[in-house]
Amino acid sequence: MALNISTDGERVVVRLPKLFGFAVRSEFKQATSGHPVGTKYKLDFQDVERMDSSALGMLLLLRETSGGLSSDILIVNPRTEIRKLLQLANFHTLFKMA
Amino acid sequence: MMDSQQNMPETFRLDYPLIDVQHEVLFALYHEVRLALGGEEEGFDLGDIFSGLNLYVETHLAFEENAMLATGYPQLDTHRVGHQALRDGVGGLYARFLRASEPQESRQVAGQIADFLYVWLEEHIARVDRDLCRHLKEHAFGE
Ligand SMILES: [Fe+2]
Repeated sequence: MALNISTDGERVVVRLPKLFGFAVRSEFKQATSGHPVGTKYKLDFQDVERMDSSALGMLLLLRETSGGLSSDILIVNPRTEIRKLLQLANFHTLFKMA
Repeated sequence: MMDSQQNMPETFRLDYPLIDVQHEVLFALYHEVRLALGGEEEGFDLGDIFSGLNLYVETHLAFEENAMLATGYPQLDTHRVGHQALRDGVGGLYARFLRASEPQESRQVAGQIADFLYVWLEEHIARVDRDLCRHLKEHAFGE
């Protein structure tokens, strides 16, 4: 498993892999399906060194499957270049970023 | 970014990261539609892909329109006409997708959304966004 799933009592915590991209797409989908709409997520980016556009697409799809406008997804610990990429994509307007 | 086969074609690239990354996200959603239509077991739900696509189309177009306003882009009005075509095209087809009563009809409309998006990206990027990126670079927008 490239992804590590746990819970902190409030949120489902997904610790993302070093290479967050198309190769882990099926695993990401499996790990985040089966939770009811309204589930809150914390996506931990501390290990992520690189990500591709398919990963950005996955984040948007998680936003939709977990409630769209009312979704609650918190992104934590992105390194500087990953934070920059998320900002270029305007994701700071669609997700909570710590 | 990492390279992957699912990436946007290189010909779509304008060497302006702010806009390129956003086009890549649109392309990733296009690719998700294709995967879902290809009957891939792990495909995401088409309805979720389209609601995400609608959201990101608006996010991206609003970003470009704000950038044009902030830098006094002289072709703002004509550029906006192209944006409205994407909003109307994707929005109209999405409404048809939601109204579809048969799975076969849903899949047919989904294919039309994917085709429409690809052609729009190809034409709009090549003709219209290339000029905009040149202008934004000259104004050092986002630097
Ligand atoms: Fe544009």
